[in-house]
Amino acid sequence: MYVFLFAASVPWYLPAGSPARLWFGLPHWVVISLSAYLAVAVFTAYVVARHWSVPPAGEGPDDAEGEP
Amino acid sequence: MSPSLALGAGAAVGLYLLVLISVGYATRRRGARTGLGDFYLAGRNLGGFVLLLTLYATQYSGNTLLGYPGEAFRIGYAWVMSVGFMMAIIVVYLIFAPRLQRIARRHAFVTPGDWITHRFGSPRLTLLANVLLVLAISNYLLAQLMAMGHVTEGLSGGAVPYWVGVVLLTLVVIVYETVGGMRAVAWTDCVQGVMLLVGLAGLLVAVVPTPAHLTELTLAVAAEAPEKVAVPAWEVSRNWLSTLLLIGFSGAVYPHAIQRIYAARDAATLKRAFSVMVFLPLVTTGVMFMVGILAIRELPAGGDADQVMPALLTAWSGRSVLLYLLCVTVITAVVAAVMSTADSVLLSLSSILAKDVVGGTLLEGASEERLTRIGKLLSWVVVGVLVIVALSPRVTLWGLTEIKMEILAQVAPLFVLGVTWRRLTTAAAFGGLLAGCATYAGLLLAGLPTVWNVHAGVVGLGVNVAVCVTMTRFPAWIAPPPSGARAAER
Repeated sequence: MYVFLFAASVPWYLPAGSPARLWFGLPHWVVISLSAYLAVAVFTAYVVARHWSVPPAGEGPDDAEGEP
Repeated sequence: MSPSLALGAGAAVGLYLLVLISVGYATRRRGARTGLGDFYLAGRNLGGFVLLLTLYATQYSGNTLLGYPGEAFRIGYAWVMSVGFMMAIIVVYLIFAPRLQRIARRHAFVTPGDWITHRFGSPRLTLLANVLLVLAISNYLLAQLMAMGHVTEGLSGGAVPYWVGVVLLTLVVIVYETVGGMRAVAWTDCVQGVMLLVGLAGLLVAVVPTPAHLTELTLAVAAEAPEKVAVPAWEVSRNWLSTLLLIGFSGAVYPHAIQRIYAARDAATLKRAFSVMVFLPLVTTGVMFMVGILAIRELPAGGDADQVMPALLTAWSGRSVLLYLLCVTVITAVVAAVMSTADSVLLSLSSILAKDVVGGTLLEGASEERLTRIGKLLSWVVVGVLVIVALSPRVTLWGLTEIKMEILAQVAPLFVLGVTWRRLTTAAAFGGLLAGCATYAGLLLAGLPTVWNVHAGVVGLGVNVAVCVTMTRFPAWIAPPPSGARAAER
């Protein structure tokens, strides 16, 4: 989802140099970009609220022990 | 800048400095203990409100308020990318911060090096990472000290010389930091964060971006400089994507940001802070972006990008008493942004030098109280050296910023992959770090700061990650098993 939203925020898929249409007084590609960033913020708030579990104090899965 | 605005701003900044010193002194009396965790991490007990504002004030430096409008003025609407790259930092935090916070609390980490030692168990990897971190944040601190001089000189219209700005503001920072450690820094960051938010709200009032106003503005910019409004060229888009990656990964592993993750009271506190933090670029860099776009119409084309903000403030302050007061607030917010970043970076630098460098070599086994005292002393030494360098600057602020981000990006896999990928081996992490640094340095020496409009640091990060993955997945390619083992396999 993040890859999609950040990729959508960069106007690589629009014809370069083409004149901008105005949406809400801003170039359309700027509005698309800002909308993508707003979606990143909302999605992040959702992920934090729903998928970041807070284990009770002193519990929780053990940490990442690597292979030194 | 007009004399009346300089006078008002001078009074406001003077009052603000007194508040900072008072806050620093007040926090001193709360903390009687002097252990490393107490001094450098505020006893690992930062609550949600303080954690949010200290993360916010630290993340947005003076460059955000002075440099970003200038960039929007220079390159046009494509600078909307600044909203995205500040958000990318929070997204990268989400990958590793929740687990790192839990591990840090369990093992009482103080410095970023504590995690690297715990995870990889390699003194040479910790040493190399610390060298890179110290290099990057010394660079960053120097940039903030220079910004203190430029801000006071520029915003006072030359009435306060550059050297007075550097020395006076640095002195205030080092005093409250020595007195109160992370508690003082975090609480002064709260004051600074509030100043930033109030200043930005003031700018929003000054900008008044209604759709009708924006249409008029965009049409005027399109008539004057159509390339700043048209869909950006593919080269700009590549640089935009590269900047998202560079700032996202390097901003998330700032040592002072990592230490704020350690200092959070608990995971719930960190969750609340991140939930709000992710929206702040929209109202921080987003506002700076709009201010820079406004300047395209209000200021002559080809002007100095660094002077955009002072020129706009001068123009706005003469229009009404309300705008005058808002401009004074914004100037104080600029000083606040520079100081809040400087104090956090200095504290982090002091902790790495005291605990990882001195505590790991000359004073191995020394008590925490002694290392804390050494850390305070080292803060004064570091600041003294950097002030001398800042008083005879030979590099530009932007140059310092770019170098810092690209060095930090090479350390990012130690945290992002190290926390999330259990199979990542020490040899792979070390090999990746070396390969990433060598690639970045090689490209710079070859005169290629960008390759195909991608930052050399991002190319280095790509090589770094590729080496980490290859060496972990295919260890036999790098170090073949002994001949006896191979014979057994056959």
